[in-house]
Amino acid sequence: MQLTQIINETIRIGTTYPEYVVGSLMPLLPLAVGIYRLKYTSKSSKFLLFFIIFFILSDVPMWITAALKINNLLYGHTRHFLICIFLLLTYFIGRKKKNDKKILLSFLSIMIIVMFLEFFGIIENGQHKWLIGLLLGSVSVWYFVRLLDYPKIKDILSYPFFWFNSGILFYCFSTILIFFFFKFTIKVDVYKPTHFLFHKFLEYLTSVMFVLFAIGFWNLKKNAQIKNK
Amino acid sequence: MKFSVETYLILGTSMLVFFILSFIVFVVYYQRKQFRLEIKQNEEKQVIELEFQRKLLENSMEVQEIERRRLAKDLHDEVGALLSVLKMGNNQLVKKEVEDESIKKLVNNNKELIDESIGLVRSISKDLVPQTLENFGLIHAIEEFFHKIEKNSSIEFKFLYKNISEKSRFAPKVELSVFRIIQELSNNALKHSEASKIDLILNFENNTLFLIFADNGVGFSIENVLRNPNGGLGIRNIESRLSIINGVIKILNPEKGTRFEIEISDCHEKN
Repeated sequence: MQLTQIINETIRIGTTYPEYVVGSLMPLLPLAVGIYRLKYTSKSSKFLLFFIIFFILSDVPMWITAALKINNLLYGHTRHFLICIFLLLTYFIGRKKKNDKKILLSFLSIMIIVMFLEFFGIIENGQHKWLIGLLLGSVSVWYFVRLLDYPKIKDILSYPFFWFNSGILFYCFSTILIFFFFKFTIKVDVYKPTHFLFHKFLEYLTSVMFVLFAIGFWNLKKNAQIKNK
Repeated sequence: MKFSVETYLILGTSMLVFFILSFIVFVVYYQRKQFRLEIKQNEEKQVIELEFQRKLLENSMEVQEIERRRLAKDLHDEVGALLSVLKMGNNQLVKKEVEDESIKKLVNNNKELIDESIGLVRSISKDLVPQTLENFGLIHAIEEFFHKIEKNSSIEFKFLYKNISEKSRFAPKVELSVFRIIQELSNNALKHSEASKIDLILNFENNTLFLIFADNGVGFSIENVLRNPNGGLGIRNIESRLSIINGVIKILNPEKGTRFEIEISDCHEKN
């Protein structure tokens, strides 16, 4: 009975808000490309693949709870936090220098502090999203600066991490205003059409990130060929 | 016209998207520019390093020649002079009437040895500094060198020159390098090739000196020679000399023997 309800409700949500379906299915694209290019993956790109799997799997309960009309706000916040941690760890795995790792660890510590501040109600519920987004976005800018400092990459457009980093940068900074003004955009008590409009917006912005990830995975082979030349 | 908060936020987010994309484009542009700059700097560094190595090589060759010259001079002036004095003393002994036959024999024997030594000192000092090359040019020096080897070995030398006269002169650096290379190749052929015939062709066209040195010996594998840490010194020496005078060498292995093709560009004939 409940399963039928979940399926029917999911179909209803999916047909009413197709953007949500696009947002949920988009990670399948980089996943498919990543699996296709699996033999060329490095440690960090493999970790990013795990992130995508995590993203897809953790999205399923969102649909189920939505279908069952169960409050999934806390789950959503925790999931968002974990997504950001996952992305930060991708950088951590990719970097070899100790100093870089120290910087990333300090970012991770700040993220966890923010999470706890929200958990204990010191900062308002939902505030962590833009703060963590800002931190992660700063990491991606820092990564680009490091990339420019060390111009050894022959073809940056064939460099997978350029695309991965672009995806993360895009996601973090393009969503920052929506998250910062969450009281006017995505909070539950916001005027419904506005609430859904910004949710749609978020879905599209997240989809762009996954498209950029897919391009990154596609370039794994090309990058390996350039390296071997 | 009054905009709502959501319009401002959408506009703001769109602007952020635009800035992010611009930033990414800037990263691509700047990274490529930096990379090109890095390549250019590396190339320049490489050129400077090569030039430095070339100069170093040139200097070492010059020092080598100066040392040869000094040695030749010392041999001729010092040892040669001493031998001449010795010869004079010995000649006085020869003139003196000595009854003892064994002493007479010894004195005559000494005379022969002194003559031989004088000849040897002359020959060595001449080999060290090719006077013919300096005074009469490459063609005469090569002919003299081949003639000398032909006298002492069973190898037949054939020397042809095209678009170049006996009086043609090139820069001393080029002449000396070419002569030393021919000496090196000939010595190698004598030592290792078991050849019975050596052909040398010298051609000068469009300010480029072409040299073909071919023997009909057993041939050799250049890879094997260069792989051997103790071998290939002669070839490396030739390559070093050529690098100073804008020359390149090609080593070919025809059906029989070995063929060296040397090309020295930017070579000007002196009037």
